[in-house]
Amino acid sequence: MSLSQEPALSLLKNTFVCGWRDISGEPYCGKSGAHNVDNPAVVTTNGAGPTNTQLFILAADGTVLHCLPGYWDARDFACEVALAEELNKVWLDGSLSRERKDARFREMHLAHIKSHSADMKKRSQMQGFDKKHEQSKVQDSDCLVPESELSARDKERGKPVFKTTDRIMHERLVNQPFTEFVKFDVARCVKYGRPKYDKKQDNK
Amino acid sequence: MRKLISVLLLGLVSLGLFAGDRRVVEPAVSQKNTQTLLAAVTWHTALDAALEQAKKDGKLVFWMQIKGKLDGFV
Repeated sequence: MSLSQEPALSLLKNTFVCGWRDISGEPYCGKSGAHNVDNPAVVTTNGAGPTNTQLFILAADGTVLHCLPGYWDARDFACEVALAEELNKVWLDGSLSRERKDARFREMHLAHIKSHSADMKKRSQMQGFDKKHEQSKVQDSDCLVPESELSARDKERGKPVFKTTDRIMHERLVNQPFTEFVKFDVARCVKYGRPKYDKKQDNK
Repeated sequence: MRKLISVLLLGLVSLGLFAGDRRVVEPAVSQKNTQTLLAAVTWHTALDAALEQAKKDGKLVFWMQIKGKLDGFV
């Protein structure tokens, strides 16, 4: 996690009231061991380790504006915070009906995918072991690019093409527009890839 | 010769890119990052308290869920 790096650190200080909780024992929590501070950490791709870590951005009344599963690069985190701030304005807009707010939530999350830079998409490649896990449930996985979107070359290859995690994140969030945190279905958002995240951090 | 150099350079860049996909952060650096984060921000452990503070301050809430302890992980 790169929250100690800019621009994330300034955002945490200036934009947010911060809190945390240990999710060990939660049904959606991954099976990996907790990270030991004496072991090396691994800088990985966006969305890696989704069942071990979730970064929620909430409105002051506890409404979920955004949920980033797993590790996120500080620059990409900042990009998503900007979206959350806009979503908060929609949520607080008294002139909009609940239906209209929910529709805007969906529109804005899906539109954000298209605004992601090529670099961010590169940083959002699913980990190899997560791809293998998703491939094993190919019929049910929403992590695969639909055939209608595949290039002729990809179709020819016949191999599954995976969505990037930034896309998966937004597409799943549209199913829970402006949901209260206490009612939010975390598993629905974060369950992709292997439940046990291999950091290969132990040199044994 | 130019082609050979290009191939070698491509190989080195590829190795660099591949290695960079999972860069290791040594414990000392990781611990320093943790300390930076813990010192910079007050971390609520009760969501209700964080929400109440957010209402007072006119801010959003950043609520981090992790497996393990904050000071052993971030």
